[in-house]
Amino acid sequence: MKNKILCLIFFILTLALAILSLFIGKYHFSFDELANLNAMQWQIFYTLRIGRTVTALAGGFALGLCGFVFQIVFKNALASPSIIGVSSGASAGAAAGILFFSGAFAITLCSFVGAICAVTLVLWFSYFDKNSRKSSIVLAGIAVHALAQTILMSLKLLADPESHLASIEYWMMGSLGNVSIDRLWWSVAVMIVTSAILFALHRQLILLSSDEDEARSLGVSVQGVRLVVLFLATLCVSSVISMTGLISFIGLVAPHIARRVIKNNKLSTMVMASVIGAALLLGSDIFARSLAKSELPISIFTSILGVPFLIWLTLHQERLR
Amino acid sequence: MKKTYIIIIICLCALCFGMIFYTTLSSKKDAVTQDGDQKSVTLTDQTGRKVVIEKPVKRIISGYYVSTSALLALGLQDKIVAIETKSQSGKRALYGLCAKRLWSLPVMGTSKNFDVEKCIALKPDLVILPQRLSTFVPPLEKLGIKVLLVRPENFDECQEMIDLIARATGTENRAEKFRTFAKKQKDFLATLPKNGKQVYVTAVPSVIVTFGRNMSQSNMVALAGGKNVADEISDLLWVHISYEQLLAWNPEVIVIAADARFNEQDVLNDKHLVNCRAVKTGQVFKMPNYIEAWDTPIPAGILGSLWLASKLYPDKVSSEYFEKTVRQYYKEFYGFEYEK
Repeated sequence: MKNKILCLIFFILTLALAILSLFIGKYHFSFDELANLNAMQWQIFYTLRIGRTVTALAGGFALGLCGFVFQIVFKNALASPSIIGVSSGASAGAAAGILFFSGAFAITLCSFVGAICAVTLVLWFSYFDKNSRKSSIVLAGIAVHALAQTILMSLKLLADPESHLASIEYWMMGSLGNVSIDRLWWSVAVMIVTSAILFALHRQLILLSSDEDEARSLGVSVQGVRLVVLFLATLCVSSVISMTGLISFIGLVAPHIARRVIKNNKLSTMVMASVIGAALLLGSDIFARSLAKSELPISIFTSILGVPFLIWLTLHQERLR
Repeated sequence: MKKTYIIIIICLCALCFGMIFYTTLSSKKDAVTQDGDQKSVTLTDQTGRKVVIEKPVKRIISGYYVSTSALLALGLQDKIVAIETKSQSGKRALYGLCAKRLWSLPVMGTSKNFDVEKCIALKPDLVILPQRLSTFVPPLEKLGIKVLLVRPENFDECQEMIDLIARATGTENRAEKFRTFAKKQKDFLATLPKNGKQVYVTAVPSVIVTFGRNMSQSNMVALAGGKNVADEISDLLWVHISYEQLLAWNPEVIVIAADARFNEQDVLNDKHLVNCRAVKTGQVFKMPNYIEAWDTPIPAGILGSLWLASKLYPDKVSSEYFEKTVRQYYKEFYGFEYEK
């Protein structure tokens, strides 16, 4: 009963943050003018405010869900979407987009391609492990992360410090300031489709959290499911990161909060992790756009939430086992 | 066998000591030569450091495109022995027009880094660096190299920088001519309305990156009789904003950075800015970049204000007057005829 109440509270909180997100920002709306269909106000409300809120909601949902998936697949409480190099690949792609092309769409596309290339490399490298160990995926992720970081460093070296270097650094801190409704549809579509498939595979996914032999005996193709869910989760995360830049800690923190609330590792936890992820990103974005006169990077606020939690988690790891 | 090894080791040690001794003696000889020379001048650079320049300056390294431009304005192009990176052939049009030899000079580094060894090898009498490269000063000073740190964040500081370099190099007369020219333009611009039109200035990367009140671009707008809509922001670097913020400011004029990859049409066709005043009235302009980026804190920055004033108040500042002033400036200080 207590768990149900807590779940309800989180749902209502997320809904409240979404509504708040529609009405907090630099542009002051007047309900009278909105009612009178003032062109400027409607344009801002529809194109920018709704776009930003949908991105925060969907993006946070996706990051929370994918964080849960990664922690289940790798059976590691500290696993997050960046473990297989997707963040580094996206960063390298975005840096290339900023350096060699112009326009927000080019940067989004390049970062998406970078992320997909990174995860494809990881899965390809791990394919060569005949024993199909998940440690192979982690090792491959470390290698690809290092490779992507090298590419990123080289691109930063080439970048003009008077112009593009600051943009690359800012992208890597994450922001929803550049998001608008006409730019987010394909990204949200990818998030919805991949999330739906992940939820559809929830039984197989949750069985992965138990012993592998037990999972096999229950008819789960461990290697196959692992690769498929990892690919889907990475596709989902890539679609978020390509829009918003790197957003830290949501994928790590949201599943843990969900487990503390629900106290199990089932579908309900998976849903709760997604909802909490959405609430975290909405809350962080509200702070990022309203605390200062300029747009603050969103990862500052997600890190402020995540770092104390991570320290707490590290200190209480024994108790959690 | 053992004796052979001992002899070899002694010879190697003797060689090492000999090399160290010789090197020390050479540098002492150089120091003696320097002491024997002309009068010295004590300067305070733009970070408050006291620097004693002890001889006529014949070899100058400039690690900053702003100071390079100042050196050219002071007629010192033949004394420059190395310049900043990203100034190679074609990248800085100004160098091609008045000092092509600069394109073939060694490059010393960017605004984030400086090649100390390469600098030392060139034996400069004076090195001019931006303040952000101050960490490279101690190793240079330890080897007796004189370094001036400059910080031209607005026109007044740019003039200070020019005066500082002029005193270090004995070109005060030219600096005075420059000051007279700049004052004349400033006095002319002072007749324009104060804080008149609301102006938004984009930075290079994107239309939603701009400059706050402490940046030289804000100073440029104020001199031109406008008001920077981003004046409420006090950051010392570029700031990222949102489209919503830009629409909330609703500027009358949008000025695009000279080095931006996007142009007026991109801004006018931007769906998010359809209801912005500047876009509705077509008041979107890109700072010219035929010779230099006049929206940066360079000596020619006053021309940026003049250009902007000719856009904001075309009835008071004609484009003919602007073109004539630009031609006069580059002829007088850089020795070439400006062609648009």
